[in-house]
Amino acid sequence: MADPPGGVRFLPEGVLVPLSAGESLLSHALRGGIPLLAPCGGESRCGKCRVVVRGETRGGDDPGILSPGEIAAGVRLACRCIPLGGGVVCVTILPETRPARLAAYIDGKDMGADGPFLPLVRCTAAGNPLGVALDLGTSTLAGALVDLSDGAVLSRAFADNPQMACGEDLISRIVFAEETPGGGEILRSRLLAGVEEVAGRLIDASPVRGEIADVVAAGNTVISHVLYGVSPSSIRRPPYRPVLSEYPAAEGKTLGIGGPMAKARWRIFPSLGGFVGGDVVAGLLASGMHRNEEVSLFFDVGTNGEVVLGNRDWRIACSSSAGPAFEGGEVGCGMRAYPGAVESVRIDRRTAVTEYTVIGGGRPCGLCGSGILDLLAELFRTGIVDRAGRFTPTGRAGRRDTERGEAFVVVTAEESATGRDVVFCEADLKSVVRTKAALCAAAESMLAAVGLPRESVARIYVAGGFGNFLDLRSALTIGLFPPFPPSRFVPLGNASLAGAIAALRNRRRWKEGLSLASGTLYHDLSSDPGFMERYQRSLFLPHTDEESYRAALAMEAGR
Amino acid sequence: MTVSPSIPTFPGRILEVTLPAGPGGSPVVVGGQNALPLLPEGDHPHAPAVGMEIRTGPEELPPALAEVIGPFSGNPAALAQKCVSGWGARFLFLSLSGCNPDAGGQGVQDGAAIVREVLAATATPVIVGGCGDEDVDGRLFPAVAEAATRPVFLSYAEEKNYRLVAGAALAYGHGVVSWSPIDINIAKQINLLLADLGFPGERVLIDPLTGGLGYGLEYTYSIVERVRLAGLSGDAMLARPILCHLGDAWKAREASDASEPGWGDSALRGRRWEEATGLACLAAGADLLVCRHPENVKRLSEAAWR
Repeated sequence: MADPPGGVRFLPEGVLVPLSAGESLLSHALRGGIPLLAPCGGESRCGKCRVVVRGETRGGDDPGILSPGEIAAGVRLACRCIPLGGGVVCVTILPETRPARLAAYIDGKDMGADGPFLPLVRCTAAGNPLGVALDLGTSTLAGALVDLSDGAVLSRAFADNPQMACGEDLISRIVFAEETPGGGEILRSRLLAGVEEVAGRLIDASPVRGEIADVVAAGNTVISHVLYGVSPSSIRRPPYRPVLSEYPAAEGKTLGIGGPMAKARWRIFPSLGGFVGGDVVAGLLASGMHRNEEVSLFFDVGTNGEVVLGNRDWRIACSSSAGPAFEGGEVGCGMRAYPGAVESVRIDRRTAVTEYTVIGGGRPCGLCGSGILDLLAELFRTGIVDRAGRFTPTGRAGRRDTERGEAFVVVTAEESATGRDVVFCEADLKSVVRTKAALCAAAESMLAAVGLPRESVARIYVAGGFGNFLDLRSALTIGLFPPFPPSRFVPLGNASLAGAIAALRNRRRWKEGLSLASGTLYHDLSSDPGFMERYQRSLFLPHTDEESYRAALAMEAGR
Repeated sequence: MTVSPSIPTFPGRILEVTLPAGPGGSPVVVGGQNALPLLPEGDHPHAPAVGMEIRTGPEELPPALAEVIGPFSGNPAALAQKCVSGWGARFLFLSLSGCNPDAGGQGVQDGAAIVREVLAATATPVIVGGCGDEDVDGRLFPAVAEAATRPVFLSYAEEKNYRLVAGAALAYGHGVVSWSPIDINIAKQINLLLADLGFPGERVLIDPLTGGLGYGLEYTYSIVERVRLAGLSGDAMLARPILCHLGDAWKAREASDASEPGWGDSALRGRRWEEATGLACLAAGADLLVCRHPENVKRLSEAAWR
């Protein structure tokens, strides 16, 4: 097979990314949507982005990370290695370079990391000053420990949000707080326990000891209220306004926090509205879209699915209430991106036999977000599922009847970790289709609200652990996003945490975050008359406007 | 200075669809236009056609209908002949309402037999409607498709049953009516699903669900208009003839309630209610109208001048 000149072919995907002179292999991989581990963000520090290179490159020298044997075998760091023109460079991604999906919760890219190191706290008398950045998610709490003397990230950790026991989503937690005796206090103490758990893990993993002097937390509005000791009840009722949109800085003790963070000064990112919180503000800060003249879209594919559109002059944000299907919720076989989760799926068109990869490489027990996305795309591509998200009756290969109705067998009982079939039923299909429809319709509503055509969007940032690993072709096959050319997507990972780290490192970035919150308009989709129609349009595979998706995918195939 | 009038032109053209007739009958051809209805510009090769509904189940007829079609109750074949030769219906919409378990309880085979009778009694094009019970319709459509002695249209296919209805229609060479609940997006989706099955577009009609005057007609009006504009603007899945079934007009209290003398003659009221609904559908862009009152066949046909 003759390859067109000037490109980088990534194996085993086989995706060819056109050559962009002077850019590293890592940048090429990002542009091509190839998942690659790079916890240091491409700064040649971590040595994780190892690939085997065949073809003409430069930048093979390394900062003392690779062994001579590895170099001789063609192993290079993707962030250092720059392909040269005049031919195709073949890059094989080593299995260990595949992001261990746990990293999904804690790694994020900071696109605006250019400022000086300007921490709020310069030095305290006792020991090394440390800072903690926190991303308080609905289902996961993630944190990073930062050395405030030089800004280095010392450790990263995460823990399940213990509030899960009080309800999977925010509304049910507010209801819990209202209806259970002492519910508000339970919600709060569970959150504090979770936060202290994360802090403990951070300190255990850190090579440097010191005193935590500064904490920056980014969380959704409900969690921020609970953390601040304010009732989130008003968010649930019209007009859905939070009590606070800004949370004045406070000492940990006054917030009720014990342990190593009690004496620290706590800053909580401001909220945009009842359902667009400080996590989105921090994510925006990390995306850097507020510095660009060109218009970008920002997706946070989490439990709520927030969407922000704008540039440096204006921004408009909404929450799509997409639901947790891509977090593993609402789907029978869904799970979080833990070891044992199927992360990518391919289906043989003829035999309906699946091929999949599992986080950690062991036996699978469920599907995480990227696996669910892949599965739906493959089921649709192979004609097992029709455009309406129903199983087609032709040839029932790969399917069987379950107590939840007809279901597709992703992993057979013999191969699974649980000894049971991992199955995906029609209700699961519908749930994923509804989630993707809400997200896509929210983005279209943002564009309609400001009267911009789709073509005017130059960049699409996808935040959330899921965003790092989703297969863009699968996403476009099922219409998760509006039909933008794949080259415009930029995965950010856990952007909220990246934004919190940025604010911790540099007080100007914190101020930037504050002004972002007041300079972004909150758009309430529930009162947007066009939203339901757009939702109905998206409630189809890939979309009722399938022509545009075909064009976007054709562009993808052409590269 | 001469001012040339701006004539709106559209890139698309509505697909021409033929409702086939039996030997000696005249088929109904609709579609083919590239302009909005009732306007002078563009081509309008076929005027909208008006047909009549025949229901097989027992029902309490509104006063306006009782006097004209009441005598034919229980005899669909005779009513079919009267509709065509007596009242000028260009096609028939045979609703097998009698097969609904709640209405008389005719069996699936009884329904199929009635279809055969009606097809034998007249050579005019026929659209066969289901009974509205999902379970029964699942057996009824295949039976009708097999029993029909000449090509008919099956009404209707929606997201839940489209494979079954379209499959039966494909196997025996019939057409289908694609149905959506007053929603342009669902209208397109069901047509895309049919296209995915390989169902030929020239055998598909769009039924956007017609609300009667005062009971949702304005929604239907705007959806019919939007479907037509989308079709003319190049959306192939919506560039199909539209069928408006005016039966809903008779469900309005104003159309049937004889206990309100202050509202005027109930028979005239009912007929007028259906007529007004039909005229609005014509203006919005409907190509086929199904009415129940014989006089409205004439009145609406006259209004459908191009």
